[in-house]
Amino acid sequence: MPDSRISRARLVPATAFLKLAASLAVVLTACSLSWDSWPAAGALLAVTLAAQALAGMTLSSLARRLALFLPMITLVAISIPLSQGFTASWMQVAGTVILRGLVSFLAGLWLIRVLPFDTLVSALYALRLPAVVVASLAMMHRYLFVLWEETGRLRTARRARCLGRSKRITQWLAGISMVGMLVIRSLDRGHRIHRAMLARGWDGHIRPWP
Amino acid sequence: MHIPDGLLDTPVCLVTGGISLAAVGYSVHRLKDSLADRTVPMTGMVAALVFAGQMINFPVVAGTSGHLIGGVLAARLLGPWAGCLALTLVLFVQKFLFNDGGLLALGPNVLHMAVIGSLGGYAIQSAVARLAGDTIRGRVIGVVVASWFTVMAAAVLFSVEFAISQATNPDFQLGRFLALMMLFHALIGIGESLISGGVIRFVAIRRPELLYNPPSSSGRPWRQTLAAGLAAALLVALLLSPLASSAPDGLEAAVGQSELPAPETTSLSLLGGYDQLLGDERWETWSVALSGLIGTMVVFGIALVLGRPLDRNPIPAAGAPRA
Repeated sequence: MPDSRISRARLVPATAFLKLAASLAVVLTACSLSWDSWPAAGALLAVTLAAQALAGMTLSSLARRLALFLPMITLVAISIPLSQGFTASWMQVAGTVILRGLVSFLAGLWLIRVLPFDTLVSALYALRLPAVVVASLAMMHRYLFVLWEETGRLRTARRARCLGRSKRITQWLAGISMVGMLVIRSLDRGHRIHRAMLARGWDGHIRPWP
Repeated sequence: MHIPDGLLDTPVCLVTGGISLAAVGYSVHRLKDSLADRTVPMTGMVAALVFAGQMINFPVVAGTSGHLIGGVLAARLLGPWAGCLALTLVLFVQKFLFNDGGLLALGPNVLHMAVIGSLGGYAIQSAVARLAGDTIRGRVIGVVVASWFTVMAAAVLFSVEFAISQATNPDFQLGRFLALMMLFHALIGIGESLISGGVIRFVAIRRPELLYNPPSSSGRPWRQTLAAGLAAALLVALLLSPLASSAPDGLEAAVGQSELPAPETTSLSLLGGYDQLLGDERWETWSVALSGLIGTMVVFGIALVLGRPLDRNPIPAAGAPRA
């Protein structure tokens, strides 16, 4: 199979690139908005909210995500007047940060909703990213869930051994040994996978997807 | 914490994104020289590991908690080049799977956490390990010191990028913002050195052969990493300076503000009270000095505690039988 752009691009629906470009365009526009251009900002906010509805995002799911995002961006925005003093324009400065951040966040939320991660990985491959990067990314996406379960097992084991609330220092020591154990288990797993790949003819050379 | 979109100006994001792209591209190029057949499974696995490790919370105060960042840890496990790639993948997945951090802000985020964290962190820990001896103890101390300095370097770089983005805001003063950022990040850096140092100590005691050993054939890799780190720092300075000079009001005011009288609005500031508290000196000068002093002392203490009871023997070579 020739490693050509055509064979790479054939893997990916054209809409994937359009979705990426649309999301980038909204973020670029949002980042040029200011407090004075509020009609444009309002229109863009309405468009991104409508996009959530079209992408099938439920109201409760959106509210849950905004409940995590809004306090964070507000804290970031407030850190400006907190360090600079509450000058006459502090509300405009902080408001601009929140406005730009909110529209960009909604655009990102829409993108991850409509663009499955494996399609994105194929799109990166079609965009001629080095094969080693794309293959590592695909590998990471696969083992993310495996290690998530591993972390869950470590947590369960800890809960089974320790009853009640522990002191903060004990929690820190337990956390450190949990991450340390995760390091040992995942590196061992990585070595096992590497050997299994070698046994199946892996030579470090990544061939293009058929 | 990941920078969201809208905080930094688009030109700043594009310039930092370009620098990140160059640094990650160079890392990928260097990976081709190393054991290619191990790169893909191990980089993917360590990237997933850093991601999972970040999910383990460490309680701080009043219900808040912190977590691992992982750049220095990844570099210690995989080496600088694969570590930089692994952290870049973590940030990419966090953006495109969980919408954490910005799309345009991916450039500065990669620069702060992957490039400074892994490449810069590896250079620092290698230099420290050379001073303290290339033993397990030296490596743990190296990780502790590198974790603190990379967090502080990222905070300083972010403050400069933010000051350039705020160039049109005449009230913005870099010194004040830098002081607030450094004060917070001195604490975050202490947390990161405790977690990273503790984890590397945990692994080094049980499985020392799992830590990265630089290939002896490639000469002096720490010098090359140092040179690459320095080149990246110079590139940042070179490429960000035109942005700064195109908007002289903000940055000149920010740089020269130590001689300026405090703005009249200070009386409204929540932190205005520090002026009286600390006499004639500006609170930000004290804050920077204090965060530097306390941070260095605490990190020194952590390095002593975490490094002390470890044996001083050299690291066993990879593949050597364990006792």
